[in-house]
Amino acid sequence: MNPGPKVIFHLFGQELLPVTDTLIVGWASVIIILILAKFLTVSLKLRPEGRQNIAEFMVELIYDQIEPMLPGEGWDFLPFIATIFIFIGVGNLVGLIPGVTSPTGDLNTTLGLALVVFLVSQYHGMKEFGIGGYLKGFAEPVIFLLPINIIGELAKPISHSFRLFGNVVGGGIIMTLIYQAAPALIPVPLHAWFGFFVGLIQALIFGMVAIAYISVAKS
Amino acid sequence: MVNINTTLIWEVINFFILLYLLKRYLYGPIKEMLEKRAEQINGDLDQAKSEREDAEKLKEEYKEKLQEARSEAQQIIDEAEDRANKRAKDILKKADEKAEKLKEKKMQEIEQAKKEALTQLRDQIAGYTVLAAGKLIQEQLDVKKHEQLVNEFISELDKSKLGEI
Repeated sequence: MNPGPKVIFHLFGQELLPVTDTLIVGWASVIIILILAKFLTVSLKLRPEGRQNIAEFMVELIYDQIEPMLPGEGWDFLPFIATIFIFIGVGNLVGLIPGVTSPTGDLNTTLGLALVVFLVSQYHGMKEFGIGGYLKGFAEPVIFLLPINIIGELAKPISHSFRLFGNVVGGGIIMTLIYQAAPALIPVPLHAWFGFFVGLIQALIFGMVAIAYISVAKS
Repeated sequence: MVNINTTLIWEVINFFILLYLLKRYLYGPIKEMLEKRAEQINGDLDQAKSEREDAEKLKEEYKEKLQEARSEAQQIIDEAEDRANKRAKDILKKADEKAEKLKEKKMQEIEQAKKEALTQLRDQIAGYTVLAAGKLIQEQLDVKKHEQLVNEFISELDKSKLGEI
């Protein structure tokens, strides 16, 4: 049993450019999301009907999560946060398909996204207070706390990425064990739990934590 | 199991491509549509408000005009009534005068007729008197006596040979 990502082939035959199954599923997720987005917004009307309602509902649902944490900037941060949520949500859900590995079950994906969130939050913090002002914030309330604050800040992307990665991989390992131990059909509700429910919850948490990090950096 | 490699960069590139394309094809159009809708609803509400205000103003104006028209109509009616009353009085007065005149004229005519009748009566009475007198005389002279008188006259004429001419 090896639950980690498997290297399918090497790009241009280079040993340094491995293409894993999680990366291929990641590309497939991007294409699925784009097809769905195009399908839902194929004919936008002033009076919404059918699929337009679904698209508007989703966008407004995510907007309603951002706006209270970053007042007045909901629409500015919506593309970033919503893309995180949708990419991770779909990435988790495709893991429901037997034989498909979630791209979020690969630390490369979660760490990559967590680092992007980290850099975005640092950027907004510096934009809000100036580079000096923002860095000075780490030495507050007393200079003594500077190392702890820096470690705390650097721990953010690690905890952020490992939380999602651990949940998805952990769920996958548990499912693999149960499938081996229990007869067919019994693991199905559990699979739905880990795949569907935990997948969506983790996507939501990842997005909310991203909002929180940006919000904290700005205040 | 945990192996950091180029997949990290690839997934970040995936994320940014997705971010760009979703912004272009999902968030952008939906945001635009939501804003357009909000704008239109706001515009419609504003328009409805201003239209209601206009209607209220017009209603007030019409009410005022109606009141004016009513009082004007009342004035016209009052004037007409006054005029009619005055005219009726005039007509009555004129009729009275006319009747008085007519009465006087008729009285004169009656007087005249009376006078004429009296004259006629007098004349007729005279005529009747003459007639009565004639009749009285006629009754005294009967036909035979007349004939005798005529015959005597004729015979006297014969005697004097006057009848031979």
